[in-house]
Amino acid sequence: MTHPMRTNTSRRSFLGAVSGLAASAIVPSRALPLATSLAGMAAMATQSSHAATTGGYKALVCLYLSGGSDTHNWVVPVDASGYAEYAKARGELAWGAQQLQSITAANQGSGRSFGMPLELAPLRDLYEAGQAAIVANVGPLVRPITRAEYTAGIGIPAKLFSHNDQASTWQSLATEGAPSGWGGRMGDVLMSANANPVFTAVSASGNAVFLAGNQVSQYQVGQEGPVVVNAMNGSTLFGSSSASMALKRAYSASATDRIQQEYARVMQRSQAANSILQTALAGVNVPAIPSTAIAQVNAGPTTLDKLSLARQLRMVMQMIAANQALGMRRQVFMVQMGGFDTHNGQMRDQPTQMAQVAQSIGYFMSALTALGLQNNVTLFTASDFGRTLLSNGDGSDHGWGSHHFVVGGAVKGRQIAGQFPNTALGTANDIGSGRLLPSLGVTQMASSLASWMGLSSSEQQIVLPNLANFEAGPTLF
Amino acid sequence: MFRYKNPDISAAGDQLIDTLPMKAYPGMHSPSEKRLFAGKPQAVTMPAGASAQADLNTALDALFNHPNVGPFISRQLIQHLVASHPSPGYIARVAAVFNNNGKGVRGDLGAVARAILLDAEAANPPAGSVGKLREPVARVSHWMRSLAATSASGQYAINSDLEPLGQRPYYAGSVFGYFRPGYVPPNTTFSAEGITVPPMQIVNEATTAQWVNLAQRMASTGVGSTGTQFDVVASLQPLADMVAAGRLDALIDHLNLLLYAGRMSTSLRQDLMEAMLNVGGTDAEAHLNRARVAVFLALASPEYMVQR
Repeated sequence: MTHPMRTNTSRRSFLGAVSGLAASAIVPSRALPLATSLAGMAAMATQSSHAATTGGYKALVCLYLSGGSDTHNWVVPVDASGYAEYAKARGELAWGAQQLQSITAANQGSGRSFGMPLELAPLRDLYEAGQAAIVANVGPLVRPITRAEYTAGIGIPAKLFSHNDQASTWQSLATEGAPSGWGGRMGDVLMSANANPVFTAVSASGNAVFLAGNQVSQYQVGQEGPVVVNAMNGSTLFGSSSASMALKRAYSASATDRIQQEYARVMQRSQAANSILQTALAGVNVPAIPSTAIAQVNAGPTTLDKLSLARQLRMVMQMIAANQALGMRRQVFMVQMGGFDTHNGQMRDQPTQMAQVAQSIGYFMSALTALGLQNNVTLFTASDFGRTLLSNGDGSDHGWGSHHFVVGGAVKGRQIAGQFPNTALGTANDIGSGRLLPSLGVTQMASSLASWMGLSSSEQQIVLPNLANFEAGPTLF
Repeated sequence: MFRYKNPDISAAGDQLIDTLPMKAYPGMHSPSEKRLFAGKPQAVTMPAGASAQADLNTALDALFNHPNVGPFISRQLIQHLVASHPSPGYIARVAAVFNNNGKGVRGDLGAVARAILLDAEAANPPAGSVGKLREPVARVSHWMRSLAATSASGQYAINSDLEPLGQRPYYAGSVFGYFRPGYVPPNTTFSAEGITVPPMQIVNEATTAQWVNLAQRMASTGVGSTGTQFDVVASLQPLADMVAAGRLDALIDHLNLLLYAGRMSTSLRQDLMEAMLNVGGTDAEAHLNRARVAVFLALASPEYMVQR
């Protein structure tokens, strides 16, 4: 396949960036401390992006709900006929009307109104405060298609309904095996604005194609922060004063074996970034996660401060709070929570999951506000796919379009962007079993987010190769 | 491990469902006609009214006999046993044995394993090819076997030590496992050539650092902290005895054989020797420390990551 990124512009910037890297970062000299290899990375910042150099600090955070979240149950019609349709279509998967709290949504047609389950209250509060918007029925599209085209097999995205492929498509616009994601490609454009380009794309939840760039490597931080290698930071090891130096030397030396070489290169990055990050993080003071009680499925209650998602978000917030110390202007982050593949036990599991997500986002936004950074950060949710409206008896199966949230002080909140379909079987958006044909492409949602990050339309074409197939994205800011 | 919807598992013998072979539950079965691979040469139709067990058998047979299965499973087995990026020819030779073990039998996994391990590409990897990265679970198991580790509880409590390395046993983050067979590390010399290195998917700034810290515990206290003790502890005394007898070279040879299959580099051998000589003292604790520092460097070195 011809890679869509290989435009003249991107090739030029790629070559420029590589020549900066080759000087010192790939093969650090044995004589130099590992930390100086970052200077090579900083050399990549020679090329200026007009986009990123205007305006203050901005960070985009992807909150990935792994497994395919059933968002039919996150945003629910509450007007009499809308709710009746929903209850009929979902059967045992429908929330009772008393479990739903109404929200303000003016632009979805007269007589229509919507609500969110009580467990999502912190997210609903942000929505009502104008700091969160809902993006209705968004999903991967190559170009906009009609149900007739879908039925005729025209213009359908590859490998729909497949976890690994659709997770990859949401994150990269291509099926599994994609070399880069749109978060990483945004980083390619933006990294030159950062004094420490190594922290341009940061994952607090392991490796994700979303943050893989063509020049940017995602930096993966532990949810408790950078990991110190004890043996490289002490003087003697088991009474030997040479072992620590020998180990550092082994990780700095170039190797003929390619796997060994690459493994060592990751360690070099780790060590170089650690010293910089630890210094920067020491200077920030981020509000602690409250010990709010949180229900858990199949386990006793826990508290928010013990929840992985909240801790990942706190780590991200620490890095955001350190943006000036690190000389960062544009960053893309990823956090993740699993367990959303609700083929069975959906009504048992969803309340807990929604509470965990909403409480974590609530903490994130209130802490950012305390730091005065709420307008500099936008968080959005994403997931493998939406699910079937139709119940399988105990849960729902793999679908396509779904409803997502965009949260932040800069967001034009208290609105449902896009067209919220009728929550019923047999509608113009139903391709079978209540799988929604998306009315907005992921590309369009990504384009709106990229605009906020400052990417020009030509830069967006690089990041989102099929952008020209779509109308403008939703007005989210 | 996988169950769809919510079958009634109250029947006697069904409670340990996660450890039993897949079973059909008639109450969860649709009697309608089903078509697999419709429109393809491998199309199979399951007629209406067939029992759950009959449909299950038909479906499993149809999957097993699909021509993609041989290359699909062969590639992944080669990746796990020999090399991360096998050549198409290697995959084809193994797939041919999967398809027919020479006696007309399809799916003879013993013959497949033999074909993988005895292939010319396994014995003599072509120049420029990549081997495979030793994954964290394999590293810890290797250490346990090579140094006769024992478990106080009998349960080999290594889970909490492997979790920060991205490979908590029996607890992959996805139903697709810890890493994907098609994973090409982005932004590397591998990505330029489209070379797959699946275990690299869990190699990152955090896990590389965590491994060195874990190797330090493996070489000393042991792993699987219960708060008061360590559950899995290696037997280092035989190595300390070699030190006490002045047989430092023999100790290095021993680690080279067990942990490096005889491929330890000269510079790493020198590092081990220097580190041991650098430890002061002549008492038992000093000898044990020499053994510890040698084991530590052998496990923590980037050289140890490569299997080929």
